[in-house]
Amino acid sequence: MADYVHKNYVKSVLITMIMVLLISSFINYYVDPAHIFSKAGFEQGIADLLIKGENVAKLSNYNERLVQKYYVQHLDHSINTIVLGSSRSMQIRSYLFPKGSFFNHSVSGASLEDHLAIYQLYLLHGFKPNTVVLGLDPWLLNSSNVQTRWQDLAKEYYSALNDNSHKDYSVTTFYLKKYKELVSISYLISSIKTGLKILWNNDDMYYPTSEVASSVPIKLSDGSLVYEEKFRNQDKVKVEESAKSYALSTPIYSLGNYSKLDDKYKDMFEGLIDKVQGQNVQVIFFLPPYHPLVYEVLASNPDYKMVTEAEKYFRVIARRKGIKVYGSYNPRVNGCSERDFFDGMHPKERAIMKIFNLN
Amino acid sequence: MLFNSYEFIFIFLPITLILYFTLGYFKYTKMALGILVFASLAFYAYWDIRYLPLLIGSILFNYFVGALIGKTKSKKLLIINIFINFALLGYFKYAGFFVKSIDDFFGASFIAPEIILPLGISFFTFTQTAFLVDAYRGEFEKYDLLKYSLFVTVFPHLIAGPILHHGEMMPQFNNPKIFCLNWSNICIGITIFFVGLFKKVIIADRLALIANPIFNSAFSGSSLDMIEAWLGALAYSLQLYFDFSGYSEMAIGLALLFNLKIPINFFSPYKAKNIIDFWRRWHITLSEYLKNYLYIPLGGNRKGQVRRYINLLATMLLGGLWHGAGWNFIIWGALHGVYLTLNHLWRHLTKKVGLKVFRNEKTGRFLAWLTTFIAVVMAWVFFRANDVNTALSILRGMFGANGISLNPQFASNLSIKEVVIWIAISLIITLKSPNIIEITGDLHGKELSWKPSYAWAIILGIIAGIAILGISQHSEFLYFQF
Repeated sequence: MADYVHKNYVKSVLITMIMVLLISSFINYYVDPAHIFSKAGFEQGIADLLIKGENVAKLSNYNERLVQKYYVQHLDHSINTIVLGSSRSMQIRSYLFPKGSFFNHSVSGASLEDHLAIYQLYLLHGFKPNTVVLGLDPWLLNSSNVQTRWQDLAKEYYSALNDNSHKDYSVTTFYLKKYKELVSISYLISSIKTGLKILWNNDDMYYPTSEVASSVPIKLSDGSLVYEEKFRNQDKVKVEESAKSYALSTPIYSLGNYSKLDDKYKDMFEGLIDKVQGQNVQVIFFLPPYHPLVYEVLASNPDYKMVTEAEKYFRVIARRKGIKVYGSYNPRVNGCSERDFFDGMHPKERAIMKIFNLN
Repeated sequence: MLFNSYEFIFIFLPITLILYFTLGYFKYTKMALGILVFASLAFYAYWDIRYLPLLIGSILFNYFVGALIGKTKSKKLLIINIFINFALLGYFKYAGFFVKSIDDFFGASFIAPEIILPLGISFFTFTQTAFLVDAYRGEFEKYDLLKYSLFVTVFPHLIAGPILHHGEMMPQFNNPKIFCLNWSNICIGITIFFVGLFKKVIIADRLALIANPIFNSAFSGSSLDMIEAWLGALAYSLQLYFDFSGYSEMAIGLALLFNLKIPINFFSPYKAKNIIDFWRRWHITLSEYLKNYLYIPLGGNRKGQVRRYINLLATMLLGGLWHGAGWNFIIWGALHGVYLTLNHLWRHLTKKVGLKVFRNEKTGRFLAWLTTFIAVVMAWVFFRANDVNTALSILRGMFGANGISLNPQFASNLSIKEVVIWIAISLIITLKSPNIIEITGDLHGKELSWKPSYAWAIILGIIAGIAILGISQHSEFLYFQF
């Protein structure tokens, strides 16, 4: 067969392949279910509503970190008490800290970088809270926690590192990782599902509400979260199945390859505490518990030995620096049972109340 | 470096191709081969440069020793050097297992050393020991160091096979045509490569989401019901096939880009109607190696039926041990040894008495296939399980010891519907469709036979595009651990 036939074949394969990649990238960019590529508008709108004191309903697939950024940037006064944590700290509400203003800045999958970056947002804006509640998840000290969403606040994180004399961040790496989602099949599947949902329902938009509980998730004006009714009111069997499934996942969320408490993260953590306390800001530690089934696995499986070590470490630091500690990864310490959890890792508001001694 | 990575597909491969063919075009053939060797070593070093001296040392040692053995025909030298090669493999691969087994059996408390297994050591050890044996048998010509190095390291096969034989590779290196760009080979090469990539990143990795949580659940002490246990076993059997055959096909496709033909390693193994046939279709180069360098030297079938079965068992036991340092791998090997023995015994007996078990050939073929498939799937349970207890637990589940649940929970949060769909699609592809080697091979007149047409180009382009999208989810090949 003539060479030109083969050359045409190769060209056609490459052209088709490139077209598939371009179409996928276009779909991913245009639909952008997690708003990775979108400009400020979407998140700006959420932040504006929260600043006005509105609750925001039907929030999904939005960039949580950008919301924190726009919120702080548009404050006209400092907040008295702020919470920095992951989704496991999102049930901490303002009534637990009734003195002065309050905002819960917890973001899903928060890593230590997020804590540094969000606190830095206040400093960059010329504000300083009086109290910082730090939600300390065990993966904060795991160098293999595979959390990368903090990179949306890369500038603020880098700025915080400057203060702490750590300079190891690469802007290029951040943009490479972000734009890699353009050619990600899982993001494409998500884009297609979201696109179809929008086509059918035509209603993916959040809205302000005075409701505090609903069939859709609601972010309250104090930054805490109220899950949708279906998730909030799951029966005991479903919660247990969910916890079991979580406990059997390999690895358990962000705890893979956790062979030691990373030295760099320990330095960063202690540096953050010193910095915050050095500014006469009160620090409170919050150790969110795990579902009893999950904690049983964490406590007995040698692969997760660092979870208990992390708790020990946080308590040592707390003692050394005179910081009050609430909670424990072990749910039994604060009298939490299976009924106090939405799933394997998210404690309910009633668990938070038990921990802060308000039941 | 992995084949399923951006840096390999878009940087390493194009640069190596351009350099190779440019040098070949200007008749710098030795340099072209040198570039391939350099690229292969760089490919290996990308994983961990600390182990590069080990690979280079192994090549130099075996090359010079091989030449000496070829000259002196010294059996003593051969045995010593095979021992050295396997001692090295034994140290890296089995030291920990050996110590742990002593601890378990004798209640001792020796500390098992934590040794990182150098990538591909099992493969390059086998490749080179075969060379030493053939040097002793006088079955090789004198090769120069460059070609020998290329034979051991050529990157498509370096990490996870196929196991190459010098007899099939060296003549190719001596053929001046390999340095000329061959568009036909490029077409077939990219076709096989992208199909292999798709099998790995789209199908195998999806099946892993089903198999892993089920096996992990059993490992953590959960009792699996029948449906869950079978779904896990099937998912893993299919995952392993798509992963390993996908890798092998990528290797074949890559080699073809450079005008090199490396042997087929998989040929629709799950279509086999008996275990003997299965081992002619699964990891073919390993089977050939074990046959030529273990089974036949042990006596093969030349010393009577009983000795034949003993040789089969011994070969498969050692084959199992080669796969991994664990009793579960040894049991897996032993099972296949028993299967092969029974198969040969069955053939021997039915031939002797002229027995025809099934009047209806179609029924007979179906039952033969089903028996073989189930036997293989059950053996894979040992292969995948973390330990023997976990494997036995899963098998108990498969036999219904823990009942049947119509709504199993999967830790990966896949629904039962998704799980069944993925397994069904994978089974249909595995059992009903021709494999890529058949499709791109010489199938004149058959509908699915490949040709470099626009229709095939579009199909392959879509497959390639989807496969590249799947690369973003990083995953290693299952056989990397070997």
